[in-house]
Amino acid sequence: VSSKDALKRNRFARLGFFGLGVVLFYAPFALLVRAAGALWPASLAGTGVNDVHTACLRMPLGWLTQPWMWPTMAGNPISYLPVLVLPAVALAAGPLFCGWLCPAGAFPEFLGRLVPERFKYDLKDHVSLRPVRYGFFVGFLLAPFVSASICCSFCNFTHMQNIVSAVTGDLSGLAFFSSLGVVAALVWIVPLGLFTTGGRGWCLTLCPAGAVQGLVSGVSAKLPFATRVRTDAATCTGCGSCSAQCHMRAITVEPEAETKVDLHLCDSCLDCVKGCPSGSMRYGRPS
Amino acid sequence: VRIDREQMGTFAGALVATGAAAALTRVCPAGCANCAACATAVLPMAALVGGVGLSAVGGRLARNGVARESDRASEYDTSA
Repeated sequence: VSSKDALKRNRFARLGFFGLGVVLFYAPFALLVRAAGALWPASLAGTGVNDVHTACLRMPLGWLTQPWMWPTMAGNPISYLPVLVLPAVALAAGPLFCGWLCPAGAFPEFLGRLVPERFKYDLKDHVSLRPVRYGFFVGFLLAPFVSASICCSFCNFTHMQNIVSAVTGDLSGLAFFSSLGVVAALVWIVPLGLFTTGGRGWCLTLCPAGAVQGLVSGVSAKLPFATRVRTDAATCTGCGSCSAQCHMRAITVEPEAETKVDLHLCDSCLDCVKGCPSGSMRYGRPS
Repeated sequence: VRIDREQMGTFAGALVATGAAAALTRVCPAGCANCAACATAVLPMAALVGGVGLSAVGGRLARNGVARESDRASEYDTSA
């Protein structure tokens, strides 16, 4: 199998998993929320709406710095998902949720493949992505201390839910198009999606769920059990195909220098591993 | 982990931009913080995206400042 075919297969497989993400998190399916509601009938999952808001991946992260919200979190086990489960997965295997399951990340990424590259700008060329990502994340955590919120006001998951609802027949979600709530949706889809190289501009800069997984993945990358994308300097030819394929803009290839993967940004999608012509990229533990 | 002045400047800029956006969500007297559903979304989002962009510029200026200092140092070395 050539590297191009392997890359295509990998992307097709990821597309299937993103479909699974829609079924797990988003109404009218929301199977994960329904399962949590069956397990814990008294929790928010059992008493609330069966959509992505009940399995919110943003607000529980903000609750971490708000002790007055801890009882709410304790009584709502599905809120452990972004706080414990996804970071634990990122610790062991990298941010697999971002690269394989998050429809809100995949939507602008795959839609952006329809836009010619010459119309896109590469965030990596203009800004140091890691500090922007963590700067936003720290601001997100601190905002409640000035009685402000950066949660629902800037939520791309909400807009993804609106799109899924509309596609599955519930057009009420499109009401946001009649308000300036469309601003957040447009920023997510257009400048930080369709016209950003890789289509993951929002994920890279304004997603707290991605930031916390990236942080865990990056700082723990050298632990002996940490499975991450890694490069083999001995066989790497420096062709740059991995960097070109990386939608998270996490790979740097410089002439006469080792190819580097920024594991604070990488989402373990494995496009680079499958698409490497020399087989120099691998997904595994430290050697 | 190597953290240079550009990264520190960019981090601080993004943090301030996020703080400004969060503060702007409190401008509206309704105080519902549901800005994505009404006109106030424009201001916080502009603060957030614009501020993050400015932080990149600030970070780059910081890096260029370091580069200029480095150039001057090398000039001194040459003259010495």
